[in-house]
Amino acid sequence: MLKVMRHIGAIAKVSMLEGARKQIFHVLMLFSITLLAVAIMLGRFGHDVQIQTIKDMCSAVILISTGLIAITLSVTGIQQELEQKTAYPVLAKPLARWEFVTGKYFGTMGTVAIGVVILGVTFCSVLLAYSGTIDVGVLLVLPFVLLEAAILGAIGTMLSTVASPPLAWFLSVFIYILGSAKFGIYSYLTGGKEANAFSKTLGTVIYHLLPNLECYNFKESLVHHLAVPTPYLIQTALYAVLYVASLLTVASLAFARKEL
Amino acid sequence: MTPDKSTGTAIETSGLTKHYPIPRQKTKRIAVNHLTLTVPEGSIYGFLGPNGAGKTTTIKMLLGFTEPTEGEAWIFGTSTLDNDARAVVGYVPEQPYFHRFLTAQEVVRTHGALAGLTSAETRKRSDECLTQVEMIDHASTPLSKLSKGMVQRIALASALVGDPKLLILDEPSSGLDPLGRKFLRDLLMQLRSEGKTIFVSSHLLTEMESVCDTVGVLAKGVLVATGSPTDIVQVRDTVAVEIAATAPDKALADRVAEWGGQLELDDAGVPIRVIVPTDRVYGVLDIIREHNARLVSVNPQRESLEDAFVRLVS
Repeated sequence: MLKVMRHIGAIAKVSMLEGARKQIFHVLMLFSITLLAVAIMLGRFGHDVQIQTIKDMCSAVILISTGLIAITLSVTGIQQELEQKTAYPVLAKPLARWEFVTGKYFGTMGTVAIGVVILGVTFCSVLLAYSGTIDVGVLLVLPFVLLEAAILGAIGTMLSTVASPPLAWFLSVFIYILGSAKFGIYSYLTGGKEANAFSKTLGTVIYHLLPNLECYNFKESLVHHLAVPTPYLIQTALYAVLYVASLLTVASLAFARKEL
Repeated sequence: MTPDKSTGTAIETSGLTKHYPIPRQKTKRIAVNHLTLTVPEGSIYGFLGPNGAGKTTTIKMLLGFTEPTEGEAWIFGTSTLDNDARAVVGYVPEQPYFHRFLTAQEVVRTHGALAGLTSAETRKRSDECLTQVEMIDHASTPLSKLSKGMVQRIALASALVGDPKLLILDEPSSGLDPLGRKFLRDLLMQLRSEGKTIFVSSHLLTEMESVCDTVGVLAKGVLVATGSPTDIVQVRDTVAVEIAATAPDKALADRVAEWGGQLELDDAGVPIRVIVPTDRVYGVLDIIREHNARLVSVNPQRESLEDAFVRLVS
């Protein structure tokens, strides 16, 4: 077990450093930080409304940016290792393919975590600059932003083992969009008067297959200071862990069959 | 069939075959065709063949990168389909690619961790291996700042860090300068003296001839010859007698011809070499003495490994 942890840790460390050096990561981070910084200038409202607008906009920027960073880094991680042949000396060592996939995934998530911390600090700085205080609710939002990114990263990793990086990216973003509007789609397909058996079945299948990403959006709670029940938070975190574990299992099985 | 782990065999393959499907065709490309070979423990095995012969595919099957279509392979008695088989293997690819932002030490330490070493062991072995490949002074240098030859040495250190019993090298001399090749040759000899087995694929035959105990020649996926380099080359039934004469000597040429020999001249027409059948060499040596030519050397003529390689693969 210790050996497995060492393998995964070694791959994750290199992968995290690699991800943090990628140009696309820098570009997305710069873009997000710029959006967070300009949030302060957008409002033309009273002080309280302005703070709510800043919180609303900043948490949305962080959520979307982190999701896109997770998808972009995860779909290129394994493929790039194969294309640049850096995977070969690694896979020649006595480690299983699933350890490589898991190590790459955790490395990507390490880079995403760096991004979330930077964006969180920027968010707090913007709040501090405008209102003179920091809302501790941000500390609740950020871990769940990371959990959503963990699901999206796992989707990207899984798709990258069976599809090319561009296709895996588009599919992941598509799933991201559908997963963020899952209840709406379900209601539309199953709830309307015109809903037939086919659309109801389709709605149910989509509902159960797609990740429920809406449950990681605590924007409303942050803006309006609504309390979130602890059991709900635990349930949401467990859901992410199980979803990620399932996707990584599928990714590992697909990668194990791959001819290098 | 599973080989006995205590037989002193490092690599064994039995009927190892790999087919690749050709897109949009029903036929398949045969990369390796029923390859059966044995690499004794503690030896240097040269795996020779032209480009496209199937050398890299064979190595990929040995390392578990790709599964054989047919046949089996074992490393020290463990099937190559088992990840544990690679626990005793160090691998140096043809062109070692690493993350170039990492330093030499970080690369070797990462491979130490992947080889299953603890942190303390990794630090110790990393320094030892970097010293062994004469790169310890560049330990903190990022790979992006090192030359190709230096990166090749880092690849060797990364392969050696886990103290493997078997080293698999894919075209290790390609891209190295003469000093780099000499260094590699000396290192391989040293590793063999330490009891390691080395399986090296190459098409640089002069390099292989001087270091390999055994060579196998692969052509179009088939092992066409195997044995020691001296077994592979054909010994010709002639002797080359090098001489130093002071002036052209027509009579010498005539007398050598009478003995079935052939005199070779330099640009000025001065005799420099006599090629003669082995059983007549003493008679020709007498003639050379009579004509006051100085004897430089007498060497039995044999095919070079390169000539043998061309003969075998064509």
